[in-house]
Amino acid sequence: MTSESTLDITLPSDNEILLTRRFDAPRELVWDCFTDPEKVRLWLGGGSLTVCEIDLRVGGEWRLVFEAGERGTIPLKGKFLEVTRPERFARTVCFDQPPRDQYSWTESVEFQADGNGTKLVSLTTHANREARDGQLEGMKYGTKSAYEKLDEVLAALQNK
Amino acid sequence: MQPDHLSATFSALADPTRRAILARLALGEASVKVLAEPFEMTLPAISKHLKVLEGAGLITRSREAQWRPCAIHAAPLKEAVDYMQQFRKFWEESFLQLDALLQDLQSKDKPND
Repeated sequence: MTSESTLDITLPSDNEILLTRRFDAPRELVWDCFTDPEKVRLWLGGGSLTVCEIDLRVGGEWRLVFEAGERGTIPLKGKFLEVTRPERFARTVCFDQPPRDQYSWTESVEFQADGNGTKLVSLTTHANREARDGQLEGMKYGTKSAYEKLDEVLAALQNK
Repeated sequence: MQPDHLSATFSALADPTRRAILARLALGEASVKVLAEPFEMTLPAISKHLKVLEGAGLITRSREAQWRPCAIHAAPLKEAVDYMQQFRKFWEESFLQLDALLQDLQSKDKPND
């Protein structure tokens, strides 16, 4: 992996998370990998993604479910607020689980052409710092299965 | 570490001046006057930032010397980094797979590539 593709995560303010990452592919293709359920299934969540439904239009709903081992499942859902292929989409996100579904946050994802590649810029905005930090906390549980998937991929690569 | 400590750490870090102060203190202890030099800010404004950093346990201020030097206290910072790392790992693993997928999809489009 080159330094250009290094994942960068910062906290630009109390309630935001800014994530950037470069991909060595045209943005139409990167866009499809984020918005076409068949393609999303192939990479997101390191094998922990069990449900992936995306109705890609303004007002359309989406739903993702991650398996999180002992923690059960992490069901997420929301609605699209903006869909501008292949530049930008914005959507709401909430836990699909009462009473946590009462609170939602927003995620704005930009796909910027960057030479022959694409720069992904994702801004997550929460209502406050506690909610933001809670999301970071939630990410812990996806990690274990993600590692297991990576182990499989690495093993498969070495057998080639 | 208690969750409220972690919130205090993130809150303290969510400001470019305070991050710059921490970066300076990583090189060694310094007085308020020295810390204020790179910024177009008054000493009271800098002192306010230092109070936030001190409250989050990210710096300590000596009570002995007259000039009260500030020093970095890295333990809460490490907790915060470890914590962020979990989030990073999730995306890093996913994006590595996306890299492979994108490569695969492009080689299908252009068999001569």
